[in-house]
Amino acid sequence: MNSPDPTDGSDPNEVADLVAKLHSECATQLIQLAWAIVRDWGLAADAAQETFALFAQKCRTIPPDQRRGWLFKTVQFQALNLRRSQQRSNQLLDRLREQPTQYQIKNTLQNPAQDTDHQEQIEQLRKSILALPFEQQQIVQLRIAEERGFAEIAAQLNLPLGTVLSRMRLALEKLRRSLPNDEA
Amino acid sequence: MMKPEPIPNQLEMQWNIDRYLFDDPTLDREAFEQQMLADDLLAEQVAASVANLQVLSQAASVLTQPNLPPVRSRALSRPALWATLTAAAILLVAITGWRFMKVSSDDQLARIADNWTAIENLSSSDSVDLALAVDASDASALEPTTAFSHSSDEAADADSREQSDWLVEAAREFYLANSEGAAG
Repeated sequence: MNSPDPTDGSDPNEVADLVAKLHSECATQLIQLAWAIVRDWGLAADAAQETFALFAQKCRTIPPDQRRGWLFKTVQFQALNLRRSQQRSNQLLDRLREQPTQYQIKNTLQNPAQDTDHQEQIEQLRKSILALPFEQQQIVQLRIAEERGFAEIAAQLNLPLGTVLSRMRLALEKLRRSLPNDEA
Repeated sequence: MMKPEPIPNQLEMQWNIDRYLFDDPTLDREAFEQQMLADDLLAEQVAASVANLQVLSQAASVLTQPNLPPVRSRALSRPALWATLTAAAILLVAITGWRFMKVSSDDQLARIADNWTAIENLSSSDSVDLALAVDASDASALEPTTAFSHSSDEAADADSREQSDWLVEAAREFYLANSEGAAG
């Protein structure tokens, strides 16, 4: 039996407070996780919204120490269902830059004070990208900036798919070191 | 600040996340999604990687901006190349013309000095003949007759014309002085 929780869901106000608290803590991550599955910020936000709606109904039955894990699992199920129902193709980054509104919504979920850090990260990454060896920079450009598929890149450069993937991996490992918020 | 090197397992997990996010065709996406559902840590790591991907995507846009060092070509575009070559050709012609004009003017000054000595040594009758001949001639006949005499360098033309006028004026004065002397 879990220890008593002050927000055990018996009081509607407590439920609202609990949902608000978890929303401020996890919503951004949940949307990002859902985006990884649906590749659409609008659908990802819908998946997170549905998840919190379900959580509000079921929070009485979810032990406090499992709430976070429950949210992460549920948002994945929601995203998978949305993907199936929407029949969306999995184009990499297809809405990442084409939906500034969604991106702005995502940013408002974060601390506004982080905007400066965000810009600094972008600048740092730009320098790191330009410092990459040409063959790695070429793959990064084709995959991320031009959104080509790996198979297409391999055919275009007349390289084995494994070589393209290896170069991408090396490039990402270098670029990841430029990301101070990366926990890996 | 340089982050510590991640351990191999972390690198492998991160690479699998990247493969998932970048649509690596060799990855079993369904199996990876099942793994995400079973592993909360992996799900959270995917969310963090999407956040990094957003920054990376923005930073990678530098590769498609023409005013920054491009990956594909470091050469000038064709119109820019032609404009540069045309400007260089015009500059070369102008410098050559100016130098030719300058040499021509120097030669003319030397001739003027020689002529002045000759004029001083003229007899009265010779000076009268010379003055009449100079007076009857156009000053332009004394200007440099080079291929660059119609150069846009108006200052050089003006200098040349001034020198010619000065020669005519000197001859006229000499003629008048000698005429007066002869008359007196």
